[in-house]
Amino acid sequence: MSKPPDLVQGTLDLLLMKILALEPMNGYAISQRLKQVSREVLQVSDGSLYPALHKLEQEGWITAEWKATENNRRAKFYSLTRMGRKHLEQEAGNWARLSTAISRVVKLNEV
Amino acid sequence: MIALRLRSLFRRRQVDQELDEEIREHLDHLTNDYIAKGLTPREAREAALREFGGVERAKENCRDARKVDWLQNFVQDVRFGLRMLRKSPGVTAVVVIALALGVGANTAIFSIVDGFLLRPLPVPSPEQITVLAIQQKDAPIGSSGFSYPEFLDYRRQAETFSDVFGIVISSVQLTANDRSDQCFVNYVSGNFFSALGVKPALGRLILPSEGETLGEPTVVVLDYSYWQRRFDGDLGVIGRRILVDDKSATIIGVAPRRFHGMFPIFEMDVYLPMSSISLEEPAIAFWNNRDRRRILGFGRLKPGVSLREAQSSLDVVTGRLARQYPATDKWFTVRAVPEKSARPIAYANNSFVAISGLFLVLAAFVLLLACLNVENILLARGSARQREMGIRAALGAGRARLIRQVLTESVLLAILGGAAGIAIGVSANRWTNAIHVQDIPLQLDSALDWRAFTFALATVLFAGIVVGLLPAIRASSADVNIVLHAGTPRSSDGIHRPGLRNFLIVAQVAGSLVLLVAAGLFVRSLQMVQRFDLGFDPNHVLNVTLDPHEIGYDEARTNGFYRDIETRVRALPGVQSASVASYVPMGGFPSKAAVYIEGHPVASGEQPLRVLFNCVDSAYVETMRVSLLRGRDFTDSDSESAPLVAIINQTMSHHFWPHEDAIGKRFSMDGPTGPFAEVVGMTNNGKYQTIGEDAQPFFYVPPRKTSHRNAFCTFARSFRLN
Repeated sequence: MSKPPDLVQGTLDLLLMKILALEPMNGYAISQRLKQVSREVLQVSDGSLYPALHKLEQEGWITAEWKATENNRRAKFYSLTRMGRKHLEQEAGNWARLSTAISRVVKLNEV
Repeated sequence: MIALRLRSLFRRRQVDQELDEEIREHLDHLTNDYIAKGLTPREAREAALREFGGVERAKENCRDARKVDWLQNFVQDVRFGLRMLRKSPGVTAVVVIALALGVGANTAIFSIVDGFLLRPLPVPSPEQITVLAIQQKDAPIGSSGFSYPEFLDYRRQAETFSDVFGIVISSVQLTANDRSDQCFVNYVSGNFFSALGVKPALGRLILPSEGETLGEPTVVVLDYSYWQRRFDGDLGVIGRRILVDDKSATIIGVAPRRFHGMFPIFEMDVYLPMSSISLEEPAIAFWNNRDRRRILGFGRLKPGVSLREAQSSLDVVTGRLARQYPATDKWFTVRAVPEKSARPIAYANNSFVAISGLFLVLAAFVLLLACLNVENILLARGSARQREMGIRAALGAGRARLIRQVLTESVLLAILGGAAGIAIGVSANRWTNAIHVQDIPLQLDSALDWRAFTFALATVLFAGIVVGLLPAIRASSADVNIVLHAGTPRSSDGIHRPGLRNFLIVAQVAGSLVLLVAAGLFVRSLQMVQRFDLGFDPNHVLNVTLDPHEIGYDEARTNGFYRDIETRVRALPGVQSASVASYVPMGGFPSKAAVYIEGHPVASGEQPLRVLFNCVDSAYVETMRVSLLRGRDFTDSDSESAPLVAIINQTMSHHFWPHEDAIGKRFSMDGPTGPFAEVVGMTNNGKYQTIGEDAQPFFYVPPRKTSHRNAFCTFARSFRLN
């Protein structure tokens, strides 16, 4: 496989929020889900996951809660806030417009 | 959101620990996955770490993500703001000066108002202190006092007060260190200091057990600033023997520094026990005569007692005394007024509060104008910086960030202006404090206490934020595209219509006009007051107030003394005429007498009107240039001959003899049966106590041949030279 594409900072936020929109989960589960859904194309180093999560938490788009897990340990679960949901809609819309525009230009037939 | 920020500020360690735990969990998960795939624990661990990426770097990045929003941004803003201010020194200077003037004016005036009206007495529980304002029916408030027996009755019987205390204000001659000077004195009841709860700065204060028995040794408590001025703050004054009105006395203590007696704006020099009043007047009269009203009464409410309860208990006592002593106590009511509402004196229509309010409004107006001015400047600067704002927005700064940055600059300007303003205010206060009008015991202790400082700080922040907000919002709303593609910064001015700036300029001009008019009116009033018709001509007149009685001259010797001086003064070159009177118009404590008209007995249930008068010799009218409208002046023979005479003023003539010619009519100062004095002349109306007083009746009598109690006035005899 060729080098994985670079991710612009803003889109990582978008991805994380979308994943959390479906269900709240902890950091490990998020990274697994990301790899799984994108079919291994998107490789986010776990190290850059946490700073992004913290920033999202600071902006108020996600919120965190310590919960007990199955093996009697505790883990920090993140979930999307209402403001975050709105922001997600906005960003998703922007992304859709952007990617459509790019695809159109790329698909232009050479004349 | 806020929780994480605040927590990262205050409980950083806990947040770090949580992060550690979270990452550890994650790594454990990954390790288990690799173990499940068949690796050994150690290999699994290494693989997990590799997959995770740099752990420490992740932690560091997290910490940065938290920090960047708070302190670093703020420091950045401040540094940049200061740089911007330095870059445009002219604008900065203008803005700082404008704000400094606005804040300075407000600070100075608020300090003065604070010192007069707002600052409580420097005693414990000052809200319990009330003024007992005694008032004779139909007479103005503040013109009466308690007599000593009456004061005792109130002290014993008013149940809602934990203490009732009184003072008499007067002046004495204090001799110490081979020097004599005239002092303003508070004769205080024994419980004065204990009721107020004042602690001495040095020595001790007057005790409840002293002060109200005749024949006690005279003890003296010095006022703090008087002690500094007169005795140079000498610690050895305690126990020193001095002379008060030529009688031996001992200094026992010094009052605390900020304590200025019951009237904060009046300068009192010494406190003496009430028993020492025998220095001025026959003690028997003062202690026993219910008609001799010189005491100003105050009370300390018991804790938890409301003003209304206190007033009702006072009314009960008043009713009881009116029944017991109908001759003397019948027409008086006593009102309990909280001390704070009775500044400077418990007048019913105390215009002082209104005047203070007016000045505060004017000062606020000045600040408002300064803010308008600064607003305009900042708006102009804002449109010049639109390019910069556009670039910042393009680089990713959010709108809030831009607003915060411009606001920081405004607040910095406000802080600089405010600091300068506070400095201006303090020096203005120092200047007003130093105003010492000669012979008038006024003092202004308007230091910058916490109340005034908080006020100044609030105005500064208000100015900074309010003024800075609009330019900040304007600047941050620049549309990035338009701004960056505009040719020059100037052309983007078209985005913001000039409407607001024009409005600000108009508002400034209008406001300045209002202030100028107000200032002009003040100056005019001052000029008019200086040209008031006082009823006499004060120009080219010198006066001297002496009291030989204070150094032991008796009546006969005193009179001889004055005659002697008058003759000698008249002989001086440059002296046109000289005269003697018992009080200086508008300058002292005038005497009052009850007036009984011959042939018009006072109706039962009514009291005779008390009228101000002055004892003057025959040269007074001529020396003071009082205009005599009808009749004649006193002559030298009037002083010695038997028939008593008097000269009245127009108001008195209209009041007592409304449609008749007053000349030839007779009245008495002593009683309904005489002896009667004949009216021989009538003068115009004048001012006798204050410039603002209403027209009041007044009369003149020659000295000596009146049986009125000489002890009434403080034996001040004044000269008039021309």
